[in-house]
Amino acid sequence: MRKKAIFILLILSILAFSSNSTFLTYTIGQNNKWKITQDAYLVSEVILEDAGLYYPEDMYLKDGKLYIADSGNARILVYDLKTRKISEIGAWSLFTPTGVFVDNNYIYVADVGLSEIVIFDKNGNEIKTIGKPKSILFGQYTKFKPRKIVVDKRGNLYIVSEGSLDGIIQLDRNGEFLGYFGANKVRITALDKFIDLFYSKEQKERLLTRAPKPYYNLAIDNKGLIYTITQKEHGDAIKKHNTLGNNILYLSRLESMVDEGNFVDITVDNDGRIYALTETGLIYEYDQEGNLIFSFGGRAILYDKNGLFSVASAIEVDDEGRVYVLDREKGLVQIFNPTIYATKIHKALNLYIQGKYIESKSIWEDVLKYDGYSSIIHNGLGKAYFQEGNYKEAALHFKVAYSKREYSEAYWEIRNQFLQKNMKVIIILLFVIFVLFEVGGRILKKKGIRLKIKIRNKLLSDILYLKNLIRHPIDSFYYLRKSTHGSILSATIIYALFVLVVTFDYMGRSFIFNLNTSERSVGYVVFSAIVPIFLWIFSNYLVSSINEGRGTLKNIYIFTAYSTAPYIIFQPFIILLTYVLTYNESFLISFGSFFIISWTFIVLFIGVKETHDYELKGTIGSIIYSIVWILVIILVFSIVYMLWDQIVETVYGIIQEVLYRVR
Amino acid sequence: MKKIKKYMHWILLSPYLTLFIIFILLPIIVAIYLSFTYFNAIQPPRWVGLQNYIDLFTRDEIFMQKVLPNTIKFSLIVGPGGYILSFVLAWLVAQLTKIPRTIFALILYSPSLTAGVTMAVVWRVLFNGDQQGYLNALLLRLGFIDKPIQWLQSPEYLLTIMIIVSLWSSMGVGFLAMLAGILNVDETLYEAAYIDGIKNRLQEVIYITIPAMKPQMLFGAVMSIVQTFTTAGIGVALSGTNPTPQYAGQLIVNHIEDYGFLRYEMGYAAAVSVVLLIIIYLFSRIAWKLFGES
Repeated sequence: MRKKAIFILLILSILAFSSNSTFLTYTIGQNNKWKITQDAYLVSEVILEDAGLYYPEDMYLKDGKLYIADSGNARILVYDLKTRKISEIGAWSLFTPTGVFVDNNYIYVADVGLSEIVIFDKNGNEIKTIGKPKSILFGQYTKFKPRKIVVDKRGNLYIVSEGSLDGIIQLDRNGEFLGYFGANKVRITALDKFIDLFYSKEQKERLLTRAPKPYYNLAIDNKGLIYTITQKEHGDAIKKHNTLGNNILYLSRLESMVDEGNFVDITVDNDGRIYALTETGLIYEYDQEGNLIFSFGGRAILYDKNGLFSVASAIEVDDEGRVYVLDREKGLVQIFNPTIYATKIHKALNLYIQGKYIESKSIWEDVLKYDGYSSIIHNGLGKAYFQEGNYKEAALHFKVAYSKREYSEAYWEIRNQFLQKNMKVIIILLFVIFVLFEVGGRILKKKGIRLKIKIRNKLLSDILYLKNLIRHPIDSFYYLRKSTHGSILSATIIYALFVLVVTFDYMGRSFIFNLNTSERSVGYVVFSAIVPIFLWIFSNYLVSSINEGRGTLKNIYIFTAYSTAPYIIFQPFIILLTYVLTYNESFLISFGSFFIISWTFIVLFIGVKETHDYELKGTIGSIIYSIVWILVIILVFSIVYMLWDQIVETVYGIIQEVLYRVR
Repeated sequence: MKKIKKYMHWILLSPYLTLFIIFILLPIIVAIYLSFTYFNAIQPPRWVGLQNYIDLFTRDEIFMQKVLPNTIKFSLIVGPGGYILSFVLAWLVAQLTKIPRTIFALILYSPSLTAGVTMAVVWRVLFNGDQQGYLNALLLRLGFIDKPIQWLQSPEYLLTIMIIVSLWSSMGVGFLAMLAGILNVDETLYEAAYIDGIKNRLQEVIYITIPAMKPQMLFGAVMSIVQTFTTAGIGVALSGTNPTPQYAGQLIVNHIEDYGFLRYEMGYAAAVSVVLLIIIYLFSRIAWKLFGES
């Protein structure tokens, strides 16, 4: 049944993808990778082609009218979407309008050329201008170059000024300076700190520019929250500010948003979804938490097509979800209409936010028919199931959506349900086992019976000798050197075991704790486990043979194998634990792994010491030299690798030459 | 007469036995009994069977999601960490001559004596949430942060700070016992070992010191296990609130106090304490396995 459904889905999707749209819609699919999805938006109309727009910089949509800051022509162009009438504002007073905002009464224009905010009423009469704030706090020499502007419901102005590093300039309705709003932070890395130690004051002034990145554009939603974009940022290019100016967009705070470094404009619709536009004409649509829903549009490279842009400069969205994008180069506006697919996703997202989980679920299921692998859909469906209490289904969908944290929560609930059902049995069972062990142990002790299986096979007992490394590493290494235990063969088998455990550690962990290694092959993991070991054996042999080490190559081969004992014996338990634990207990996994790995290294250290009969100092020296040797070998190898072609050519040339001479 | 002689040892033991039964055995038995009941300290206890335990592991989300992970993390680091630290420091101090040794031992022991005072004087000042706090001031001056961090009020830092403070004050009775143990090791053993071919101090410690002071090691281990699992006040003392912010520093004993003395669900609290008892018992068994005389 399921297979059939998937098959039908596939056919459907093939049919759908062969639509005549000129651009593709992308979304995030399995394994957090981009994938093509159904068309979410189609261009319904191209307008203002003949309006003579010349380098328009900004656009604002209010009450069915588009206000376009036509910078090249120094005017605000007003286009009524219903009557299709064009009118002009401020042709006599503006110089280079770059930002426009409209509220219920006024039209605000940010003019970089005039260094002023010009305010018009709806009829186009100039009311007043706001120039550079006179407040001392603003700074006497600070430049005031307003590029973009938004106004909140109280009439406060938020202005992005060109080259302002302090954040958004906030003015009240009379133009009094209220303060700077939410500046970006400067990140000082450890490297910067290190450089600081060596540079003189003059050098620092000349060479280091540690200024925060300026905001590029901004938008305001119907609740009065300010959204900004910062260019050349990754993971947090988009920020949503509360009234204090702090970033409250969840994914952006984690710096894990899917975004671009060349965003030029941003807008927010009534439901709080965020639309951001790159200079190259890509449109990114996000949900309220900052998860990417769609990415569409693009750059017109060879010839013009609907839905592609030369240089995009502004984006707006109306109440019906239509997206308006302004092309600065070509001076026109393209209107994108959402398809049924997009409308349904929007509806489901809204329902979920309103808390109507059941309703949202049916829509999500419906949308799933359009695209079976989109992570936003599976995430939404998983959340709906989660709220409904159907944790098993939720976990399934979260897994497809690759939302580990949500999956972990769903899994926690599943485990909890299991425990609730079976706790009585588990408690009694544990108690019985405990009593059996205690009583059994006592009885066996009393009777003097010792349970011990004698292993006759030399090889098997050599391999099982691993367990002695746990309690008595020093003595065990002594016997290994004396060759009373261990052989080349047993060591080789232990290496194989080690590689097996490493491979499982990389590949076999549960979904929650896996190490994002889906792209890596088993061969790669095996290779990266074996190579360091053999490099170590080789270089340790070289180093110890000139440093009065007692161990032979065979000794080193054997003791290195046996030092992996803690890892081989205990790491499998950690791997198994990943299948029952969730993020709540993730500490146990990381701490356990850390503990086991450091234990392994300590055993290795003891092994070096005992095998070569070194003092403490000699041991440390030997290990450091070995590591340096490993690095040297890697360096030499990589140089050889890089020069391989040259070498081949040279050798070939020499042979040719020799052959030529011989003839 | 003969009969009396037969029971003589019981008579001689009786003062200890009465005290032991009244103050230790009886409370434990009562606690185990109460853990199977619903008891709110007003009405008589009502038998509910295993319900308290089932609730603890399945319904009590704070216990499973915050308290248990916190306790495990706290005790896994502070227990072995403090234990190793006190052994290493005891060994180092033991290398000194008598007068400096006494002074250093006293200094190292003092944190566990004066925990309450130092908490207020040292740690709360160091981790103060405003920019006058030492750590904040230092980080601000170095430019690592741009506004002071509420160290003690923020869930992500509280547990780490608790661990640091507990490690610092973990040189308690176990430390003194270990110091005594190290000093009590027979000097001739070392000499004999050197004749037999021991070459350095590390081998000395592993082959002579630790085996010779096994009883003290065991005592130290049991003390540190019991101490770490029964630590309660530190999170509350540091953050100044009970429960700690978002249960970030809530340990098992806090949870018992929460249910026992704030909500008066004595039966449930008793069940939690029985679980704590079992955990401590299991860990002590491990310590016995490692250091006990067989």
